Amino acid sequence: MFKKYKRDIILISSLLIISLLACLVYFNFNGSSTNLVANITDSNNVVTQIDLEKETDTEREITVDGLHEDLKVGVKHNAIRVIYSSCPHQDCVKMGTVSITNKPIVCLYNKVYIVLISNADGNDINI
Amino acid sequence: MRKNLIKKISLISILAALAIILSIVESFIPLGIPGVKLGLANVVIIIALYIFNFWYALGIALVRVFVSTLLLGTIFQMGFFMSLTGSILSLLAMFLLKTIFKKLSVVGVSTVGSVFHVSGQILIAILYMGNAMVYYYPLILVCSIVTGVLTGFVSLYVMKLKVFKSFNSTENKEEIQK
Repeated sequence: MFKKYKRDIILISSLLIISLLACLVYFNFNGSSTNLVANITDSNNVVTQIDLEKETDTEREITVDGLHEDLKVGVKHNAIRVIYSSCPHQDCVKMGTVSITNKPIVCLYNKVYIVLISNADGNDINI
Repeated sequence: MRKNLIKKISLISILAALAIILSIVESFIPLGIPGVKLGLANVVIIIALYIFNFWYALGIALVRVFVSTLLLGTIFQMGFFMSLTGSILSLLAMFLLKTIFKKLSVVGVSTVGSVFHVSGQILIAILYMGNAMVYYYPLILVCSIVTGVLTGFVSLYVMKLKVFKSFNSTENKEEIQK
């Protein structure tokens, strides 16, 4: 059985090792959950920056221009989530609250994406 | 001869219809990552590639992309271009691998096809939306390897069915028997 699939096992194992290493490197060395700034890119490619460090623990709702319909996004202290989107599969809503830099929220249908970056230097953010 | 041709046309039509149905069904099975699907329709494309040839498989892949997105109401939208690029890239990779590395089985070929499928989709998503989709690539890659192995095994067993036996060339028969 194994001899028959020897070449396949080598090929699949190599692919799996490479991708798992990429996952490991990416998720271990690229994550930060403090001093977060949200870069929200809407369907017109306009980037809105929100300093999540300055937000309170009470969730505030903002509207983002979507390709088909506007999205409702909830922001609070170092956390962000999509509250409402008109996309068919609701992947962006199902992602829930994100509070780490290496986990973007993407809505392909409405062409909106939210990326969290760390503002560890404490630079002023133009909102 | 004529009977064989009718049989061939019927089988290709059934495969195309099956690819469209599987494509629509899997669009209702979200995996939690935007744009990622199980790749069930890839089973049909692999079968067409092994039982017939590259051109028949390409024809079925194109019909699948056009008709399924037309029925889902997403034709010429983002998902359509992602699906089209992924399908063509995956089929090309599988064909080249099948031709060059003859000792690889359907499972290995299917896995590489699945990896190229998601790579093509991510490429289009990056062109459309920018770098945000790159973040998902390592995770999607792992998922694609798992689904590629599964679809490879499914294809391997489906191709052993009696209905496909009369179409298999001697060369393909050896590969399927592996």
